[in-house]
Amino acid sequence: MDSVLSDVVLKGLLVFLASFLSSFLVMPKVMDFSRRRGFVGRDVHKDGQPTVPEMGGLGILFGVLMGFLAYCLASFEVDVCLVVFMGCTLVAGAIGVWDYLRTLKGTVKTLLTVMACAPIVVGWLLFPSEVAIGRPELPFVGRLRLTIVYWALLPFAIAVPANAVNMMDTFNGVMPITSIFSLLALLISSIILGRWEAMFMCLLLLGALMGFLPYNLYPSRVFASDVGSLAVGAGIGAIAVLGRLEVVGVVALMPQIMNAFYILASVRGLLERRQIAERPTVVLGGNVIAANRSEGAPMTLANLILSRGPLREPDLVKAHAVLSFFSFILALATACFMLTTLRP
Amino acid sequence: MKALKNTIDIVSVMVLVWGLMLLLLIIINAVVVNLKLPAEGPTGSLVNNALQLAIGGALFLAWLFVWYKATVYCRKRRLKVWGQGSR
Repeated sequence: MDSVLSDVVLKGLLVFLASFLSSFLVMPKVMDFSRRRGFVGRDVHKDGQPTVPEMGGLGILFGVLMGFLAYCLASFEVDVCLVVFMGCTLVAGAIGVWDYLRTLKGTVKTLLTVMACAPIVVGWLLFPSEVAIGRPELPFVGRLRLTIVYWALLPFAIAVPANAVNMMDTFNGVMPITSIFSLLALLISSIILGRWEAMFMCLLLLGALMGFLPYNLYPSRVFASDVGSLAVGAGIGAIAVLGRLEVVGVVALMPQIMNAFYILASVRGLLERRQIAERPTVVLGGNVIAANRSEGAPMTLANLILSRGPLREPDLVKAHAVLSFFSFILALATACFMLTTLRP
Repeated sequence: MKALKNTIDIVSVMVLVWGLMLLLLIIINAVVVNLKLPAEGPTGSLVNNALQLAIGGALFLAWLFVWYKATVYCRKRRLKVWGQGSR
């Protein structure tokens, strides 16, 4: 038992370090590549709107891939669940590249992200004993056996987190910070509930995001763009489905889901950000940002936070981090409730 | 500490939404799943499943509605605080 546990811990450490170091070390190359190719965007919340290299998400994907290879080399086997997780993440990343280069409509992008659940379906068809889906576990209720309803909801299980994380990527460092809290909640929950595959998936993504974070913190030197945010969101969705942590995943992603829900409810539809006439926030200068108080402005989480008064960008990011910390606590409480239901 | 003070009411909305979600799960498991009309056979089963799905869906929509209204109320209060502060 002890040797199995130490093996899991060692592999986990290796996976985390491999993805963290790969992502951290490759990022300057990605920034250089983005600048040379003209993949740059304006940081609209800064004075003078400096240009910042985008496509930092490629570095995140590279980190995840290196972590996965390290896992395969360390265990001398290929884990089906991890392959499916990689498939979902890479498909969403590819959709992000396409969206970045072609600027897809909001509805088209959302429909395309539905396709990112294809690796789960293929994995289930080929290896039904290893990719067990349709049996979510709920706190106080226990394990459910859903057939038709689960299959109907499965496309949303990847598309919703992918787009929710994408919509959250608006200020320096917000996407990686909020996603790191979500992943930490899923990581600890997977350890509490003994879902080791989910734990390795969390470590893969967590390492890559932590490697990216120093470059994306205020003032950002690189943006993740849709490549990174869609891939990270799809990865979190895949962890929740494959690790049977659906409810924990929903609670862990609460700030991102809140943000997406407010936008959808206020603009009444799936619109690309360029299709929305008014911005949710206004820049006052000196890196100070205020909520747009106009009736037609979309309600976002940032707009809600700023509705009490203007804040500097780093303070706004801190407020997002506080909300993510509370969702982390609530997600852990949910996992503990699941534990009491499963093991009375 | 300043960030926590600035977001405490949004955290309250979050905790409310989370609590209501758990309550919803308990209600669906304890009440909705056990709701059955006195109809038998395959048609009866279909009708019962449709009824449970409809009630579950209605409860879910009610949850979303409460969430949205709580947020709109929270935003209005915050805007009021901002207005008073700037005066």
